[in-house]
Amino acid sequence: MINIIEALQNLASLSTLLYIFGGVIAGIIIGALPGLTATMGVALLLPLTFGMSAQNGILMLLGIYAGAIYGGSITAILLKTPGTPAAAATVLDGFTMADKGDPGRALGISTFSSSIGGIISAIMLMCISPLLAKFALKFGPQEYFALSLFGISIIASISGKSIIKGLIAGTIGLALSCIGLDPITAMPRFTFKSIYLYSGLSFVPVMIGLFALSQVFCMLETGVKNDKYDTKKIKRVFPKGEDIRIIMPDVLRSGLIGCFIGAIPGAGTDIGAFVSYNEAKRWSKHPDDFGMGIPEGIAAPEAGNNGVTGGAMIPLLTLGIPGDAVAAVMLGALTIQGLQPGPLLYSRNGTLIYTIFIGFLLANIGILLFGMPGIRLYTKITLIPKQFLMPAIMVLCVVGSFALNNSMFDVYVMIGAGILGYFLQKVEIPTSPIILGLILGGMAESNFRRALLTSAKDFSTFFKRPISLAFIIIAAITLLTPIISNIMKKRKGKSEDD
Amino acid sequence: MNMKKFNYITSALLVLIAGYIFKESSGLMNVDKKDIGPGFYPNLIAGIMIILAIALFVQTLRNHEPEEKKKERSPMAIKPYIAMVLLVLYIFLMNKIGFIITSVLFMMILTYLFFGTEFRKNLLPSLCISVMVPVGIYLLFHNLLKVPLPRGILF
Repeated sequence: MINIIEALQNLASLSTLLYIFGGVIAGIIIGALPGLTATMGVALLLPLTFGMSAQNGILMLLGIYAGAIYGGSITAILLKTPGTPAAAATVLDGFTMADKGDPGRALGISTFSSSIGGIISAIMLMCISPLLAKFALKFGPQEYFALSLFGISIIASISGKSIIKGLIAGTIGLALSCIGLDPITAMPRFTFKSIYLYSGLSFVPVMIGLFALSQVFCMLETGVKNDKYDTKKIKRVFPKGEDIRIIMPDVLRSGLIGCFIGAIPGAGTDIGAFVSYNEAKRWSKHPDDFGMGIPEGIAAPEAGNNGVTGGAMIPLLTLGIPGDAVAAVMLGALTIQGLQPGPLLYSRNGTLIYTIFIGFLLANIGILLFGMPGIRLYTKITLIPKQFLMPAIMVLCVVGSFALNNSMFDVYVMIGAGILGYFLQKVEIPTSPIILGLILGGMAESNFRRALLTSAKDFSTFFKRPISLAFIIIAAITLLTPIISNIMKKRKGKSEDD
Repeated sequence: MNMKKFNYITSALLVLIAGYIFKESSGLMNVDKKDIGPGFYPNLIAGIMIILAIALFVQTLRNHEPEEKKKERSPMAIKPYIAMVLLVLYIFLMNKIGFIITSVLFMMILTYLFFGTEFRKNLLPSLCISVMVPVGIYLLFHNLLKVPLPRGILF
């Protein structure tokens, strides 16, 4: 309770509120611009937080995250191009409704649902994560190893079209995590005799390269398309009472579904949106109307994807395991501030944790406050030719990675990661498992070896403890299920041919 | 180039990287008898990498689905490579001439690369943005965030 009161005191300052709401507005614009994703926005603006206090920096990034996930729906509705992958499901009913002549109504519903979905997830984060943190205090190295294994396996198996390619990406990340001094004996490994590599690859330049720079290279190849839209077509934006009544059950359900999905490592906002959409369809009395431009079809994915945002913070803050790529950037932001996410954060920095919770709640209210009145303005901004934007992003990538340590070496790492990311996208290997492999790899190894040190090299120690065993079994199931079902499908296909 | 060829190249590269990891790890000494040693984990990852490389190779080999017709090689395909070279050149020159001037030039050339033939029509806004963005970033990072961006010879 004392934490909450202190947190409220922290938030009652003009500058903190400015950072939160500034983050939301910047996020909405980034999200609305097709080609700029939430991950890219958070990674690009992360360097700005280096000089801020921990709470202002983290809250600004959370504001950007929440805003960007909502902002993606603006272009999804008006231009049929989702601004972020999370808004892909919103196109189905959102664009249809706008196309039928009611863009204002569609935007209003999406703003309202995004905000409420995010608020639900913020409340869930506040209620669940302290309990989970208390539970996680009991975790030893065995559990942490099993947990990181579980995280990597899920991430690798659900991102991307092919499970093998997802796993390859995860393994590349794991291999990169070996660079630097060995965690137990401090032996230099794969450092190419460079002292810059002794402390390992820094996450931030790798993330900026993989998520932002590689995107610019891809845009250069495919070329950019500039959209035109007459903003005068957008009329009344605030949803009518009747609409709110219709969508409310879907918003509440989708917010909870999103939060649950977000809490699973690896499952991100796009999955949250699609699952929420399908569930809304399943629960609906008139499922055939979905896709024809009905309010529920906009509300469900939008509440769902913003629901994920709070959920993704749960494993990050309580266990130090990032749930998705944006959470990975957040982990970088926390570490730069000298904070180690994990159960101890709750006892050591209780006030900060509650400041983050309540600030995140405010960010989601901010979606409603700044989304509704500014919607025409955001739409106009998204029409700026992207030819001007992309070169500026490249310069920002360079400056951002330089600013981390004022070192040119980080810039080279960023460029290397950007070029790697570009080629990987050509080969259809997803990039986010790499960053999670890089982060979780170090954690996996040090805990693996610490556990074996205490058990005198007895490998069965991982299977003797119930929680560790449970995580290993789930990891094995996630990895094996798609492979087995693939084989079954092929068998079935063959027997039908005969 | 089609996806099949890409996949084969990926498999080959992965095997090469795994081989390198094996070679490097074998030189790592284990100083603590209670520990499994610094080479164990990298070797494990290299092993998984080889298994995955073989799996990708076999999967590609057995995939007989007709590939979509080879697209005409677009003239845009070379642009990312030009940008990569420019980027390296930009970093190199930044240390010599300073951040602002190199950034303005870099942005101009990249904007040209993005616009292609339409560049002439957008000459004035391109010029303005190419000057404004680097100056803005310099003021923000250098003065506000105290990041010592390379100043070079002119400032």
